[in-house]
Amino acid sequence: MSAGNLAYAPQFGPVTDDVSGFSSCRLRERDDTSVAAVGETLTYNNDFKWLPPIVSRLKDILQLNADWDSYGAHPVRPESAETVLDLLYNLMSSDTPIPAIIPTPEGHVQIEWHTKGIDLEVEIESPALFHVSYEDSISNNEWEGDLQYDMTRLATFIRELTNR
Amino acid sequence: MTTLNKLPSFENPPLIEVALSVQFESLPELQIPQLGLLWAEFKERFPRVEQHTPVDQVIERIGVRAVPQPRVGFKLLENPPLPRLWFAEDGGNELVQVQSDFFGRNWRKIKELEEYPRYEDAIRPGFVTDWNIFERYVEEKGLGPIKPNQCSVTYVNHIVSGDVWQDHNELGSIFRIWNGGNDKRIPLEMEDAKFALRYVISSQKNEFFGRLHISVEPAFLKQDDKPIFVLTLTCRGKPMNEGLDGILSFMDLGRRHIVDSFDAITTEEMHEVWRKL
Repeated sequence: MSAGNLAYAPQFGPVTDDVSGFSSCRLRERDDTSVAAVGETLTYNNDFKWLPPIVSRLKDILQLNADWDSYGAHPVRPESAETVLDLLYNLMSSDTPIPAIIPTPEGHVQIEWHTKGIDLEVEIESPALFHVSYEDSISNNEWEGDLQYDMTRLATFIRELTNR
Repeated sequence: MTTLNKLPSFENPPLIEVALSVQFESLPELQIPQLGLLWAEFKERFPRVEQHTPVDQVIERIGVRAVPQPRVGFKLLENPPLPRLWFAEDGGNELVQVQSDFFGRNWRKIKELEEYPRYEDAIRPGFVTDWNIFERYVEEKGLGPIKPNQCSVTYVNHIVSGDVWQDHNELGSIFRIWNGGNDKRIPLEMEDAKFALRYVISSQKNEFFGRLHISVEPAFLKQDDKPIFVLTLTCRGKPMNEGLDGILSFMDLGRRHIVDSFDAITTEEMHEVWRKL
């Protein structure tokens, strides 16, 4: 994969989840209907200062070819990278330390924090399966397991390392 | 299935579309040529093909920050995205939608007098038939396995103005949950309103399944400029177990929530118009 071919975004905008087979062809919208310029708002909002370095890093790891580790590693799957952004967007706050983004030999992406006595690793195995490992050397709390749709536990871990 | 009979039913519901769909982990080998060959499996019943922008993966999660509409998505594109193909009947009522991580089956009301063919009698069996064709094709061509991560049920209603209401500011005549808009402390006439509701779907053991999304938006019909409200109810969530059974279990549950909610949020005056049974 060459860097020149990588038309990476991120593209910001309303998620296209419209499964309708009509495309609103029967309707005339009210004249004052407008779409907010979501992208510009996000790009310059301090709440999302983590975004440029994360996107830059994802862009780099998406360029890794197969066998990038000389041990037969798979290239990173784009949906893993998109899930990283989706997850961080929904869980990070402006004070959350910026995590490291690590490719895994399976073609997954791992999000890692090692800070303030906390080791938190989240491996994105698919858009709906995350393997999480948490160790807090100060409180001696630890947890390891898979999360699918309920992110409550992960949100608690990230809140802890944000507020400490 | 016996409990489905207890659902509210309407002789003349304002439904104009029902969509049943499944989202799954991307099948990287399901490229344009394979989608073309897939069409051969549907061509006899669905001779028309259209290309559309792919729908994005949307996963209902709990424990994350509530995101107001419009939801923001991220895409990291290496190449132009593969299209979503529509395979449509000649008459246009029935529609199959396919892309590398999505399968959908729609019924659309094309002509005014067409009757809604009913979930148990036509919508659900139609989905099962065409999902089986798709699944078998993916298996035979070695493109799989298909790993579903979300299913959804969507009902779109056009509530057209008439005897009960004439103007977009009369939401209270249609939606019994609406009690705003006529507050005398605002010395202005309300023109219209739109609103959205989200409900969490969980098991009795508090296991998260997904969400019911309800949205109401004012619009006008193109043909005669009549004011209408577009009431869209979508249940989206994880399959309840493996395989087609898990998909259908969620769809049956989602459809139940949609029909119950439609009945609950609308007024008795409108139920008379829609001839509630």
